[in-house]
Amino acid sequence: MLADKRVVIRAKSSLSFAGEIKKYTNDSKGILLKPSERSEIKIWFPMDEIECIIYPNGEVKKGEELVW
Amino acid sequence: MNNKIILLHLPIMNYIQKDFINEEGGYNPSLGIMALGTYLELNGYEPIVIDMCYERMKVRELIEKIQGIDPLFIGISVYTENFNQAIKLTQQLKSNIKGIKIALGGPHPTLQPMECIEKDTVDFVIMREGESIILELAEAIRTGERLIKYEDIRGLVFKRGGRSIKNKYKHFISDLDLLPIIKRELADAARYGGYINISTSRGCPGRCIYCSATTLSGASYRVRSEYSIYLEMLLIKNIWSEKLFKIYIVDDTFTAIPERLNNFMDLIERFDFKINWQCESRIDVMNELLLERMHKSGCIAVQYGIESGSQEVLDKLRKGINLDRAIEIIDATYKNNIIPCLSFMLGHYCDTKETMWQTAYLIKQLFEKYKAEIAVSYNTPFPGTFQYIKSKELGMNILTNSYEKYTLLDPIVETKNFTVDDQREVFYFCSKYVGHYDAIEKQMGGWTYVS
Repeated sequence: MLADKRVVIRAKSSLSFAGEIKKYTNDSKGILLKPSERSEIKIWFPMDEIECIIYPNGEVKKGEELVW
Repeated sequence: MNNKIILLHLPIMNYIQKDFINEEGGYNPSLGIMALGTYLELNGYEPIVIDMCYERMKVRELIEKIQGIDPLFIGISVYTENFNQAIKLTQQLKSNIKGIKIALGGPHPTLQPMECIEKDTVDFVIMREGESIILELAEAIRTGERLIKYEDIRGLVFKRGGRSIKNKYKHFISDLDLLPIIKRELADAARYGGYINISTSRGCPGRCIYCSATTLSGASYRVRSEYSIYLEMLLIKNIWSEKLFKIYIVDDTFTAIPERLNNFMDLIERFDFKINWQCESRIDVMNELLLERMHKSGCIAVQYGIESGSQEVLDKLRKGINLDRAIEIIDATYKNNIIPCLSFMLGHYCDTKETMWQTAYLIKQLFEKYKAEIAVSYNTPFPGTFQYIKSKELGMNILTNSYEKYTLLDPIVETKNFTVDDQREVFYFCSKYVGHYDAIEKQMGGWTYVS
């Protein structure tokens, strides 16, 4: 069973990833995503590489909206 | 909801199958299916790869297996020649497994997406590179489209309210190094034989009109870095050390970028990495110095697509090679102790009986002089490709719509200059030089396992 709080991150490389956001950091400008509950792998997305994030309710954020 | 996704690879006729597996020969499970499985697993799903080429299970057994798994959906990789077989299977799956969703992907669905989606038993079609599309589809199905709607998944074709909807194509992946290294354990790759396939690029820099590569992978040629390739080879060798005879690089033109090739060989030399490898190349991007270095770095065979023994035919195909130069390169390949593997086709739109016999005599010459591994097939215009769409303008009469015959081993084209029987006659002559799969073993003086 995958968690309900999973998001989809579309990267500018045209790859998409899905998982739970584990860390937002303003200093290093990026997001740490944990894609699988069966693994400890986490993927770091520099903010500049993110095309958009799709949240569990279907809301899509991109560009300026990604600043928090 | 279940996170398991079944990925099916169906049998195809022109493949060497389970019965022919030995240490050198045999075949590898579909890299595409394993790549999708790896990507899904990275992103939290549980892919189950079933290679029907290998398993040979009855449909009833397959259905029972799927019923036991109760997957989120089933993905099926489809070629033109097994399209009808795939559709029959979807009918049986749908009628036996209530509510099961089925997605088709691979070459034929990419070339003919609407033909696929219009079948009652197909729910989704994935066009071109599937990693991100199948992941987004899984998220859409898993959340009942709360997270993402089918309309918002580029590269997807689907049905809504009785209508078939084709979304825009997804852009090609710009950096292949971002993809995970394929997890070959998903298909239990060790059981297949002594070689492992790897892919280091997508697309092809060539623009040969008979080839479907550009239609399938777009005009963009993208490559992985030498570091990424080296790491994958290192991983494969560490896992399969005793069983591994060679690594086969399946790219259409591995040597297209000499700098990348030289950097790759720098790594092999720097770390004294002992590995046998084989690749595919083109005459126009090969030279004597590269061949000498490739041999020293473990290359044991290179495949060149020569395609015809007529320069005039090659020029019309936009092949971009010179036959005299081709023979020089084949000679240099042989002299560097690299096995030349040469592929040819009969029945090009601009072929005549005379040019096909020129091809046949060139094959005879190259086999006798170099003991080259020869492959010959019939030119086959696959639906959706340039040759198929332009067949009338090219003067080609495609004789059958029966996809089962699109195997490359059945002539399906005639022109005013040659018949099916003309092609068969030349093919029969060539067949005595074809398929000498023991050439590498013999020329290497017996097995040389890498350890």
